[in-house]
Amino acid sequence: MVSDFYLDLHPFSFKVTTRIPQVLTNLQTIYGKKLVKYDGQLCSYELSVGKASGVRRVIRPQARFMCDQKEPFKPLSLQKSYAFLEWGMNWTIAANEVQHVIIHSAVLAKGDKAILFPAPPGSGKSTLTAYLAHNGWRLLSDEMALIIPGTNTVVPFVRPICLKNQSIDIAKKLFPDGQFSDIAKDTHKGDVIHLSPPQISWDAGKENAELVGVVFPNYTANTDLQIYQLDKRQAFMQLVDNAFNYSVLRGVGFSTLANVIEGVKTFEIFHNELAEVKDFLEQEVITGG
Amino acid sequence: MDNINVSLVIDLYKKPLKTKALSLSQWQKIILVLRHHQLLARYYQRFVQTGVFDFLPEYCRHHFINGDVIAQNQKIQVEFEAKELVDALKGRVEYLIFLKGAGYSLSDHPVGNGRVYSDIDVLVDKPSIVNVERQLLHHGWMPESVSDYDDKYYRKWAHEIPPMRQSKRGTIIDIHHNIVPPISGRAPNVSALIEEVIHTNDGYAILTPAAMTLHSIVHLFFNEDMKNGYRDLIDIHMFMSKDADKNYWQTLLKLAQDTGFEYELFLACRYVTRIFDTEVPDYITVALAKCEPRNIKLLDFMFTKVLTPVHPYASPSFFLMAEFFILVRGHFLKMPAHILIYHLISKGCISITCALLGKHFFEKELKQP
Amino acid sequence: MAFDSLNKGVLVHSFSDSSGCVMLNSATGETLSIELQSEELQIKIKEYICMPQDIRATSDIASLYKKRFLVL
Repeated sequence: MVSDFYLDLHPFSFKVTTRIPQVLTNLQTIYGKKLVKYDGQLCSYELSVGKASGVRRVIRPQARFMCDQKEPFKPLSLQKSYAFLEWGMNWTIAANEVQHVIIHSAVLAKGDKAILFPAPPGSGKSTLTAYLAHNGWRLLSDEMALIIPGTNTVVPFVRPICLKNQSIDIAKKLFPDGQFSDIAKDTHKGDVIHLSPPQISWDAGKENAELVGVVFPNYTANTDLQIYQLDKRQAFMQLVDNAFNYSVLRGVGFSTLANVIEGVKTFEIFHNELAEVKDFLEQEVITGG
Repeated sequence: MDNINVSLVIDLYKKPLKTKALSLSQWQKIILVLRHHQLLARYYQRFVQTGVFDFLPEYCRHHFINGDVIAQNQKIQVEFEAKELVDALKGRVEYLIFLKGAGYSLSDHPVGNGRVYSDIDVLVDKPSIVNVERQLLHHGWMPESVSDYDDKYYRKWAHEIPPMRQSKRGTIIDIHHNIVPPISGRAPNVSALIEEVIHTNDGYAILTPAAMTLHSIVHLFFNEDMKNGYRDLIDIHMFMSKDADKNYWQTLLKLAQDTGFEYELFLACRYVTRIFDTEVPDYITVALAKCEPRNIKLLDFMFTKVLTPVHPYASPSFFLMAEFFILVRGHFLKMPAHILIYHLISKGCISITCALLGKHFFEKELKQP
Repeated sequence: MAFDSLNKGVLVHSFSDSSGCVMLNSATGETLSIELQSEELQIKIKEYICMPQDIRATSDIASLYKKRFLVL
């Protein structure tokens, strides 16, 4: 069985090694033509997810993730092995890449104007992300926004959207033709599934965008759309809380995020209607003075 | 696909102009090897110093710059941690000396530029150890999770209390009261080392370059795990090259004699010369010649394999056997035979368990992605 | 200028919507959020410097000094 693959996921590239059939199937579903056989292509990092050794191999099979010779996490059950690879990819970038300011956030664009959606788990951010990506917006990233230091420019790092728990059923109803991975059950985040963004996101995967907004979304059932303009100082501190490599970048991180906040509109919204949010974003954030 | 080997990786450090002849495919492997050995920043500094960095392909420069940014950040971080530690332990210790990587960073010796390390190592006086542990607990440092067996080993037999981790920042500190386990019967009189203490501009206590060299040599040639062997050897080479005047060498030799580590100094000089062509003065080589053991050929075989940047892409043949011998030798050096046997058997049981049930069976802490 | 008393490596940004300032201490990595605007902050720092030492501890600015954002 061919076990070495190559993924060009601008601005990074990966050699991925796996012999676990489930992982390969999910990679093919999510990445489609982007997943090719490894043939000596130059890559940024080498990743692998394989079966754990010893008695565990048979009784309660587990998967191990490695970034080259490093094993940053304890093994997880084999059932979660594809999700493990995606998380491992996030870890690899967060642990090694320090030439962008990296925010734990979704970022989507309409044309070349982008909005950051930083959000803690349970805020419904990923459902909103999936909705926008399927309705005229393009996804630059679901979990790792890469900002060029000293600018308001975001570099796309297109990857699948990670949906959890209730969002899974919602997404499956909303996007019946969507390219979904298998569900990883009982992870530390609950049940998890990955959804590949529509083709336009992949096609525009090398086109940067300029940030015009930072929006903190909160899904709240039984509520009308409520929009609060955040003061910039608060928005800045929340962005810092969500930045992966802020502490390594120090002054560069500080100045970059301060300038980003100065140059964008900042809101916190409470909603239960995705279409309403989309209208608000398009009318008040993307356009408008 | 172009292959690489350890000699090539070492050569790039010794003769940076050789970087011009590499293919991108070779670079990819070299960068993996260097990242694995935490040497991206070290090599970056070398390439910048020798003027070759700007001519490297963009692919390489990206990864080297990543390594350097991370190392620079660590240097700033350790300065902060040092200040916090000094403040926390003021008046509760007779002395607080920063060792190894942390010591290098705090000094202004070039060995501190581009040096990356996982823990902060400090030396305190033995009577103060209990106080130190208690005081650090007050400041949010918690004992790092180890198996019950290792905890006993640390406290009773080794020269360390188990490492402590700062709960907010994640920094790990190793607190020593000597540099080798007293049970080995070779623990040097610490006072010989304390005399070799200087203070940085900011007032932190570190060892002199000669003492730092000796400590590094003892750590490397007593070390059970030679995973960082190549990196540590580069440190020793740098100490022995930069500003290594007559005073340095004489101090180093005397220190080795006073603490009973001439043999280790002999080994260090021998291998740093063989691998890096380091210039060791003749009179030093002559003075140490009497330390050459009968089984020197076996040691040459082992050390010249293990003190290299090993990695699946660059491994020399027979590596696994060489490392095993050094592991056993490391244990043997640290404790008397009867205790070694007890220790190995207990450890042996742990190894067998790990082989059967997976390497993570004994780890208390659960790390999730 | 009161910002002369800031420690080496301290960065300040005052937001254009008058919501206040943020400060970074590059040496310690700590980031602070302050509800005062730049001019108000500078006034408070100046006041702090001029205060007799025994009552300094009561000032809001005392924590800036403790966290090594200020040098006196």
